[in-house]
Amino acid sequence: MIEINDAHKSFGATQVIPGLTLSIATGQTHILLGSSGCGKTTLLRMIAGLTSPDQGEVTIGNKLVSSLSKREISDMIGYVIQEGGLLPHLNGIDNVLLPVKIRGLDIAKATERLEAFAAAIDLTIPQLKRFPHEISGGQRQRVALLRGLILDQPIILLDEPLSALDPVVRMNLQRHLKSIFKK
Amino acid sequence: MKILAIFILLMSSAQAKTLKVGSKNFTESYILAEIVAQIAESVGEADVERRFGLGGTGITFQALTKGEIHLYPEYTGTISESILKDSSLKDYKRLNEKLANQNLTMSESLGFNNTYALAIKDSLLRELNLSKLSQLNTHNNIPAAFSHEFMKRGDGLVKLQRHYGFKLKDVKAMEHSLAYQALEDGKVDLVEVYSTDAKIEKYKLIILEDDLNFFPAYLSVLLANSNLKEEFPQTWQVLESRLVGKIDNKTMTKLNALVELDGLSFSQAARFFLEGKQIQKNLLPAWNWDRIILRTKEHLKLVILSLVMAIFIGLPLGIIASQNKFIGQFLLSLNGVIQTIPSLALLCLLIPFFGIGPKPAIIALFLYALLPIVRGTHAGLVSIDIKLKESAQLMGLSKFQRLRFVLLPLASPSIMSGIKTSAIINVGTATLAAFIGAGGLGQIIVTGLALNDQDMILQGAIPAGALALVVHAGFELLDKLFVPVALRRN
Repeated sequence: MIEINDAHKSFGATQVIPGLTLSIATGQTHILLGSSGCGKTTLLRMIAGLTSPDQGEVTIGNKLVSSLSKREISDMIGYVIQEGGLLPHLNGIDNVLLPVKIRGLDIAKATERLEAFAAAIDLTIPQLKRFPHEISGGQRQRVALLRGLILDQPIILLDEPLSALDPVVRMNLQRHLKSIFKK
Repeated sequence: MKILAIFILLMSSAQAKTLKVGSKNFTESYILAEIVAQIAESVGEADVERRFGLGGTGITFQALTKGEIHLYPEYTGTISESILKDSSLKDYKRLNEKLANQNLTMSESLGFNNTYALAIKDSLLRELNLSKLSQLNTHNNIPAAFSHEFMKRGDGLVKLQRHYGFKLKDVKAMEHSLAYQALEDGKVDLVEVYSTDAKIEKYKLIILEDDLNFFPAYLSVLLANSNLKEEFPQTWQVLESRLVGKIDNKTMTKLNALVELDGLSFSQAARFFLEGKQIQKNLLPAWNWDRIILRTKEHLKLVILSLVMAIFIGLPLGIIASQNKFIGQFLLSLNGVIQTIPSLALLCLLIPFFGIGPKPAIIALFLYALLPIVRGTHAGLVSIDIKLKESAQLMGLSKFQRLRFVLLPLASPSIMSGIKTSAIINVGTATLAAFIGAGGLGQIIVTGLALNDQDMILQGAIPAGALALVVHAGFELLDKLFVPVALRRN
């Protein structure tokens, strides 16, 4: 359950979020629509604790985001940022599995999950073994999506997840996302 | 009984004290120090350690006062002018009184006077009709080259010009042995010489008459720690009896010439003086590989130890500097300041704390190696895309994990290039460590400079250059180990 209560945020003189109140219940999928620069990313960043509101508050499960540690937030939120944010020195698989590895979780189990998801969004294992600069923008975006989903956190934030995809892949991915969110 | 005797012998040899003999980095000082060392060895009261080729009066005298050496050959003029800074001190008794205050003592004169003099080529004597220093008044545009020491010291160029009332218009500062070469090449016409210099004969030089009696006496003496007399009484006594008044100007010039012109080693020249036998010249092989290998090992030790220290300190400093802007600025500018201290000055400054030998050299090299590493680490870390840092945060990496898995790998190309720069700078700078008795390839270069022996200089310089190339290649390999494959530039 995400609650946003009268949140304001400005950058310099530009007010990006002018007092927003919003409540998102568990199990719901929401889509933010709006023109470029209207504050979609800022809202996601506030929920993920990357930026804090000038005024008002953001809570997840009745806890203030600002009171949570980075690790606690990360355990609750899978966040795929714009253009992925993949680490250039790791190949696709290592990028996806890094959150698993640093938590000391079962790698074999995570790999199974990774392979199932990868197949669902048309990513092959050879593609996943390449470095980010060796694959296409659309492939990168899907690797980043895998990384966001790998821990199976209760909250998934996707920032423009379909922007760099061609129409066919986009349709497929939309379908897959739908099925993922249904689960 | 025999076993007991051997045992006692072993005991005594294990306990034998060491007499450390120093010298400056020019031929005459090496020869005299070698004579002292050979006499001390023949007395057998102590083990003898040779710490030769220390850079200039400043470093050698520092080494003496800090007990790093027991004695070295010095000149009365240098003692009064450069060390005690009181040119009124002339006679043996008053000099020794003053030295006693600093816990030092000196022998009586060994017999020769190696004073400064100015000299020109003999061909110029007729051409310019120049034979006396006072005539430089009318020849003040003559191109001249003097050593740094002569240009700075109390009884050097400044006072000479004031005394005679001329002002030379074209003066270059140059390493003493290079000045002769410049003279030979016709780049300069006037140089300073020492009156026992073998090169006066070689280059056919005329010493200009000191007609207004400016140059003080530079009588050769042994300058020693006061406690030397008590620690090694017999050695000191024999040194005095065999050397005081025993080396006249002609003998010294001859010994210098044996080394510089005939190619004898210092120890051969010393043996010639002590045993009076003419020695076959050129016994040294052209390229002394044993020596080159030994010095290369010493050199590598200096470079590697200092570099490892610099990495262990520099890497954390670079990380700290990247976390906080103010600390970062402070650390980087502090490092920059250290970098601007000339290497010889830094080496000299470190003697009071670390003595002479490899220790201060390693510390100095460590300090020089810090900046590129701190800067490389800092630059590598601060240039990482904020998105990637946030990505790491969103994945739930702890601070340490972020460094380990994200930041350091991403910064590794820049960190490695900083370390590489440090290593290569250190290979070069380590040659200067010879000036404080730290050995290394610089030792060969310094000796070669003292002898004006270009071949010997190359024996030090070429391996040093080759070493820089090897180090560079080695780091290219290390890159493969530490820099993730996707981040390598080639």
